[in-house]
Amino acid sequence: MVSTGIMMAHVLFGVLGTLLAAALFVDLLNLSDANVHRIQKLGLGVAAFIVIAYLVGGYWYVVHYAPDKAVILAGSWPWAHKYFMEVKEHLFFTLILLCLYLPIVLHRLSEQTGLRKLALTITGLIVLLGLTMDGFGAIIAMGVRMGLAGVK
Amino acid sequence: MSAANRNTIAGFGLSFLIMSIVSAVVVILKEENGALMAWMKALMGHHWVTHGAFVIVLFIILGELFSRLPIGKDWTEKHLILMVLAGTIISGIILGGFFLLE
Repeated sequence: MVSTGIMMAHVLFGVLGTLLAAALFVDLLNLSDANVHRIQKLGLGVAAFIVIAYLVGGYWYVVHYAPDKAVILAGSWPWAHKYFMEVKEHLFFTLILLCLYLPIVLHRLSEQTGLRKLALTITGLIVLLGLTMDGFGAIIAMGVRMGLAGVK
Repeated sequence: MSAANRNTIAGFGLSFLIMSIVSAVVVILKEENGALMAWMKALMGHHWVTHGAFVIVLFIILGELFSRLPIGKDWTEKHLILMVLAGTIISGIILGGFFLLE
């Protein structure tokens, strides 16, 4: 039960961070002096949510994942761990670095600084990687299901 | 924008490019080298924890160091965008390709 709660928190914070990044992307398209402070706050929110998702998911992965991994590897979708989990857990580091870099750029953002396209690129990549993490997570969860069902 | 701010953005952009690729290369090294994997496990209890701490701490240290260099004046926004895209795409290809071949 605790394990499930931790996993749900990981997914929740990851999805919230991705949604905030999507909202930030739209706000950046309409950058002006009026919304620059909101953009900077949204950027901090994206970084905070994704870092929390990383810490919570990391704790779950280190402490609770081993039984699920054994089920996946014994089931009919072993590649759910061998490929998707392995790529997910390591590609997450690129996502974290983007999320740490984002507030550094946004803190110096204004209509005049000419950083809008860079901020849009970073934010767009965060959305794409966030959705990728979400999709990979779904495949990993399905791998556990296939293992428990004993489908060969 | 001040020169210091330009240097900070360029410095951390360069740090991102380096560390995203280094992180992906470390994955190959630890998967292929049992001694490195064992050392990373022993250091912080789990190889992935050590890996994450290494990547994040080095990103910050390198970013701070590069920010002290006068690199901001030579790099346009286009250069920075290319660095961010390159770091993300190259690390993605390395990771996706490596585990595909595993």
